[in-house]
Amino acid sequence: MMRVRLSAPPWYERPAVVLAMQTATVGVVLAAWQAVSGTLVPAFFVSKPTLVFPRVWNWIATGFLWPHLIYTMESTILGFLLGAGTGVAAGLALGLYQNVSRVLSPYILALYSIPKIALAPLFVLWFGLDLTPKVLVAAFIVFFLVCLNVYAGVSALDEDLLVGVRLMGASRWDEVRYLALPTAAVQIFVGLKTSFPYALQGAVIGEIIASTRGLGYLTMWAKGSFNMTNMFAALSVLMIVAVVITVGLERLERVLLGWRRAER
Amino acid sequence: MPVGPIIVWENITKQFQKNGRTVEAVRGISASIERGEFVALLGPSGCGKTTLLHITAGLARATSGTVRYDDQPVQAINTRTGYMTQKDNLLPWRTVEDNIGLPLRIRHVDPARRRTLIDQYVRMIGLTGFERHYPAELSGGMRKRVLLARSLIYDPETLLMDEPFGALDAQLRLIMHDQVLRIWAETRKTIVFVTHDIVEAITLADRVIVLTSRPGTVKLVQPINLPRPRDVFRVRFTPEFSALHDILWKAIEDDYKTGEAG
Repeated sequence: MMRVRLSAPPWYERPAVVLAMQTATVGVVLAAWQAVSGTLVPAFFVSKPTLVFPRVWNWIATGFLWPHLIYTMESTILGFLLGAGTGVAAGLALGLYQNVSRVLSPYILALYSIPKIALAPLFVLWFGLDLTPKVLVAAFIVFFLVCLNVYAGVSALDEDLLVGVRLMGASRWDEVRYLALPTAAVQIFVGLKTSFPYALQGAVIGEIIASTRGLGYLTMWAKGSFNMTNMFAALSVLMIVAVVITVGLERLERVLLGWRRAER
Repeated sequence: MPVGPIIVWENITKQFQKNGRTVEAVRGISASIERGEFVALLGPSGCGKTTLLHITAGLARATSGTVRYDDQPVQAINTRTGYMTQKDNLLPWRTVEDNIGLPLRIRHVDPARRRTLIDQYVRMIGLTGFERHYPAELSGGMRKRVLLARSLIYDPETLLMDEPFGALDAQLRLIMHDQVLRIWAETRKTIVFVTHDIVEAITLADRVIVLTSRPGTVKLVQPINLPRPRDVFRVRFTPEFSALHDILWKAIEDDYKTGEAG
């Protein structure tokens, strides 16, 4: 049900006010961090905003950050693409061939329930220290999330719509293209959107276990040298990257799934 | 011009398994439909009308008996028929023009020809200006018209219509009846129209086939000799219409009475 407004929203619901309050929240948290650092908590453990943000800026200005950022993004994006591509294909196949999925589903669920982090050491042993194991950890996580979402979407095909396109003379491929994929599109996007942060997670885990580059490596490097300013700087960069990507995917979803707005 | 009936039902029986019990939807239906004829299948809800339509379109198989379409047994989905369902099955993610054009895409009609046909049919159903709207943005009547255009655009010889206007208000239905009769007069398609509404059946059809309640059997075949073109808004107030209404009501009366009782 749509809520119908009979009067203007109260002042605290206006977008500008909400944004102002959100900004204020960040300000309060940062101020609190600054205040407790060196007073309630030793600055050694928590660093402080006035050190962390200049450090991030310094990394950007000197170019120190770029090779690490690019390395992490490379494995994240490659892992995401690999996992999403195979995940969509496998989800579609399982959804359309229910006989196959009946047989395979317990094994898929078993593989799905392995904590993916535990696979990182195995992949490092198999594929060495370069990009491959990081890509694979990321891909593995994304694959299952996307596959299960696509499968759920395709399994829920509307019988009436299916009969409709069949009567128009649709081939199997037409059914996939005009019915299954658009039906699953919502689920596919949910899968893609939720899995991207996991792709980043997979890449970072790979770097933490064995690497000499990347944002994950930076946190290990900061740990090794007990440098909390570097630690928080690396974490800040990771957070910004994840937020930018999530917002980007939301925008894309809004463009591609515009028809759903009409449904609400 | 080929001769002979376009659809022949030979002793059609259809049984379903439901909760371990066998349910008989239709039993021993035999009838035939001529080319260009407008036939209404009339009967109470659940008398197997939809089942018969499904078998005719090749969406389901008869348990025994055969359907012949243009003298060939129907063994797969019959793509020479257009099917308009009771439920609106437009694809919600496609706009009006993309929905109407979908059968053409599936049939690999080239884009220029597709464009021409879509424009022609959008004009025909009076939805010019709504081409880019999604189904959810249309009224129920508009969606029915889009469905009608979609089932006509690839020019199937036969149109199977399963209570297509059941969900519309009374006045809107009359407008749709008028539109269907015009299209039928222009294109001379064969139309099989399923309904439980006696008035709708008489208004539209050349012949009404009355089915009994489950299992559906043919109770009566009644020719409707009202002159054409018919004024759908007034034809039901003529004495000839009343006479036909009486005949058809007598044919289905008992089924409604027993249906109410048990």
